[in-house]
Amino acid sequence: MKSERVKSNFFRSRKIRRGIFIGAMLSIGLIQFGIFWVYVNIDSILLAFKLTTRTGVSWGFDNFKRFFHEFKMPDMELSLALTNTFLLFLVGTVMGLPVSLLFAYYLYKKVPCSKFFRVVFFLPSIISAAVLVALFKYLLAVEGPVNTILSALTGREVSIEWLTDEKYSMGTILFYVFWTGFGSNIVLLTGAIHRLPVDVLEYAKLDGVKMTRELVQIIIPMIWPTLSTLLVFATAGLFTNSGPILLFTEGQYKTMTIGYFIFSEVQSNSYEYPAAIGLIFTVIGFPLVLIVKGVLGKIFEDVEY
Amino acid sequence: MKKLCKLLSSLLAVVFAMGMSGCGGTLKGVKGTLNIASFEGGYGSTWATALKDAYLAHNPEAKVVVTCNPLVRETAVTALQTNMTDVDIFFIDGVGVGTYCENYGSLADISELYSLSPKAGADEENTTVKDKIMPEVVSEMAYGGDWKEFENKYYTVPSPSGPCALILNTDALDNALGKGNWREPRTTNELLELCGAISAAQAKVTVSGVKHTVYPFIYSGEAVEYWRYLYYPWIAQYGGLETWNNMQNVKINGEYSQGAYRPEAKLKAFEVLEKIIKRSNGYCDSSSMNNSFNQTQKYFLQGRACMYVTGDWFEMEAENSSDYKANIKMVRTPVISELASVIQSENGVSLTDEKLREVISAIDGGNESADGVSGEVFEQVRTARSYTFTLANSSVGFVPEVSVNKDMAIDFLRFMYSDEGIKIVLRESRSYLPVVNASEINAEGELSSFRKSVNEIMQGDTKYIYSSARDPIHYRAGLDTYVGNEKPEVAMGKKTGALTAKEYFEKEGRLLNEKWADYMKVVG
Repeated sequence: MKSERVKSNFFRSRKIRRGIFIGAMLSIGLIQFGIFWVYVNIDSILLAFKLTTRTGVSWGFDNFKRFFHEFKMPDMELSLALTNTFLLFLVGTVMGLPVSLLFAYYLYKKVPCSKFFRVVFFLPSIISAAVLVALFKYLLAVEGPVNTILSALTGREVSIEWLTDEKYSMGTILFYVFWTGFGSNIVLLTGAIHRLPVDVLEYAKLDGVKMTRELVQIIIPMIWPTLSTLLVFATAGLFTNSGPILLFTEGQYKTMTIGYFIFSEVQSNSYEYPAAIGLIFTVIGFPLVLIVKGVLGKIFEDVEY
Repeated sequence: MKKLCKLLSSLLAVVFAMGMSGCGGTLKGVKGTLNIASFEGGYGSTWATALKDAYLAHNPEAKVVVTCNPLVRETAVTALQTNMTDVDIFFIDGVGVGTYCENYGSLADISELYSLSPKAGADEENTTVKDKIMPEVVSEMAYGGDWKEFENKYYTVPSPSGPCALILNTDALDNALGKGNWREPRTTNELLELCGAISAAQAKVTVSGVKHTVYPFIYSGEAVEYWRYLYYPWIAQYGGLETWNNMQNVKINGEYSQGAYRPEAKLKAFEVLEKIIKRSNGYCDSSSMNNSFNQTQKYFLQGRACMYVTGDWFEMEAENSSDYKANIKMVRTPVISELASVIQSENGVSLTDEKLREVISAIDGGNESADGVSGEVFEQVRTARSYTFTLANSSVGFVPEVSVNKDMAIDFLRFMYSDEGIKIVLRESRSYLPVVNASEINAEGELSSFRKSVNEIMQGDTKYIYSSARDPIHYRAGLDTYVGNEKPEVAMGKKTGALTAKEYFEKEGRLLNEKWADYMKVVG
C-alpha cells in the first residue's frame, strides 16, 4: 500500500514527469540518430574492410589496395574522375561563390531590374533537377535552340553535340553547375547582407565609400561567417559531389567523377569496394576541411551585430 | 491548457510513430491474401491483373491483390535488402539471385514449382513447369554461384519477355529505296550494303513541314546497350554456343579464363558494330547519341530512320509514347558474314557471302538443304540463324523469403504457366512466356504486322541467348558486361576520340588483365 503511494507520488512529481516527457521526446531523435547516423557510418566503415569471397567473408585492406591499383590504370580513367571532381568544386564553389556574392550585392543595392533577376537567379533552385536537366538537354540538343541560334549567327549549320561529344561534354556540365549553383547561395548571401546594420552602411556612405570598397571592406568581413560556412560545406562535400552526371551522361564522354563512380558501383550491388573508396576520401577530406576551416577563421575576426 | 498539451503530445507521438513505421514498411503480408507487385514497363500494366482475374475465376475462394506501377523495381530491391515486405510475388526486369541469396537470404526457394505441372483450375497439364520453359532459359532461373546451400535450387521464374532484334520501318525503306527495291538483310554484309544504299539515296522525309534525311539506323544515347541485341548474337554465331556460354561464365572447361571473356568472336562482332555506328560512315542518324528513348521511337516511326534495334515491347511502348504510326516488323538477326571464314577453317568449304545468303534464304523458307552446300554446313548456318537475343532470363518473377503465402504464390505461378495463363499474358502483354510449346499457342484476335513478325520468330526455329550475370565473377567480383567506365557502343560511336573495334578490344584486354587478380581473389 505504502509502496504504491510512493510510486504514485513519484510519477506525480512535476520534475519527474517533465523529465520523462523530455526524455521521450528526445529519444525519437536519438534513436533516429543512432540508427541512421551511428549505425550507418559504423557499418560503412566496417564494409570498407570486408571482402566476400567463395569461402565466406574475410577482413583486410583488399578493397583499398584495389582502388589504388585501379587508380594507377590509365584506362580506368579514375584520375580523370578526380580531375573532374576538382573542376566541379572549382567552378561550383571557387568561381560560383564570388559570382553569387556579386549578384547578391547587386540585388541588395536594388539596381534596375533587381527583382526580375532575383527570380531569374533563384528559378533553377526551385525547379526540380530532373525537369531542369530535361530543359537544359532540350536547349542543347543537336537540333535544339542553342545550335539553331548559333547557326543563324554564324550563317552555317552548327550541330554541336554539347553533351555527347567529349570535347564539350564536361564543359557543358560545368556551365550547368555554375548556372544552377547561384540560387541557393544568392538566397543565403542576400539574407546575410540584409541582416547588416543599416547605420554602418550609412556611415560608410556619408564617408564617401564607393560600392567596391563597401563590398570588399565592409560587407564581406561582416558576412564572413556565412561565406566561410558555405566554403566549409563545399569542401566537406568535395569528393562526394557527383554533380548532375547521372542525369546527363552517366559518366560517359569523359565526364566521370569520383562521386558518380561510387554511386555506379553501389548501383551494381557492390557495397564493399565503394565503401572503401568513400573512406579513403573521408581520410583525405577530413583534415582538408579542418585546414580550410582554420584558415577561413583566421582571415576575418567574427563581428557581432 | 494542460489538456491541450496532452492532446498535442499525443498527436506528436502518433505522428512520430507513423513516421517511424514509414521507414520500415509493412513487415509481413496477410495470410490468405496473395499480394502481387508487377513492374510496369514496356509490356504494359494489365497482364498481371488479367492473370489474377482468370485465376480467381478458377479459384473463387482465393484473395489476390495486384499492384502494377513503374516503382515496383525499387520496392522489390528494398524488400530484398531489408527482408521486409507484404508482397508475395514480385515481377521485375532483373534480380541478382546470387547477391540476394548469399548476402540477404531474401529469396524463397521455389524449386517445388518446377517439379509441379502447370494447371488452370482442376485441369493439370501433362508436363512440369520445368519442362515447359525453354531449357536455355530454365537453367538461368537457378542459383548460379558456388555456395553449397543454394546450389541446384530455383529462385525465379520467367515473366513475359520475347525476342530482341532488328526492327525495320518498311515505310521508310520504301521511301528511301523504292518499293520492291530492297530486301531484309540476311547477312551482316548485306546489312552494311543496305546501309550504304540508304545513305547514298539521300532520301528525305517531311515531318511537320520540316525535311529530314532518312538514315539507315537510329538509336538512343540513353540506351546504347540495345546494340547488344544485335551484336551478341553475332558473337554466338561466329564462335558457337559454347564460346558464348564461356563468355558469360568467363570460364573455359570450368576454369576462369580471360580468353573466355574476350573470344575472337567478340572482336569480329565489334568490327561489324563499328562499321554501323562509326560517325564517318554516316549510317546512324546524327542526333542519335543525344536522343532520349521517346525521341528515338518517335523519329523512327516518323520514318527518319529505316532500322532500329530493340525488343518485342517496342510496339506497345511506342503506342503509349507516340502518335506516329508506321509499318514495322522485326526480323531475325542477320548472320555475321565472317561465319564463312569459320566454315572454311572447320570444313574447308569456301562460301561467298552470296552463297551464305542463299543458304539463309533456304533456311528461312523451311528447306532442309541448299544447293551446293553439305548438310553439315547447312546445319551450321541454320544454328547460327536461330540465335536470337532475349531478356527472358532477367525479366522474372520471384517470391520473397518472408512471404506468408508461398503455397498460394506457387499455385498462382502454376496457373501463369498453364496454356490458358500463357494466352492471357500473350493477349495483354503481347509477348510470350518463354515456353517450348509457343508454336501451339496462337494469339487471339487480329494481329499487327509487327506482332506477326515477332510471333514468327518466337514460334520458329529460335535459340535464345542472353547476357547472364549468374556467375560469382559478375555479381560478387563486379565484372560487368564491359570492363572500365566506357561502354563499347559509346567508345566506337562517339564523335570525338572514337576507338576502333580493335582498339577497344585491346583496351578491354589491358583492363581485364590488370583487374584479373582482384576478381580472382573474390571468386578463385
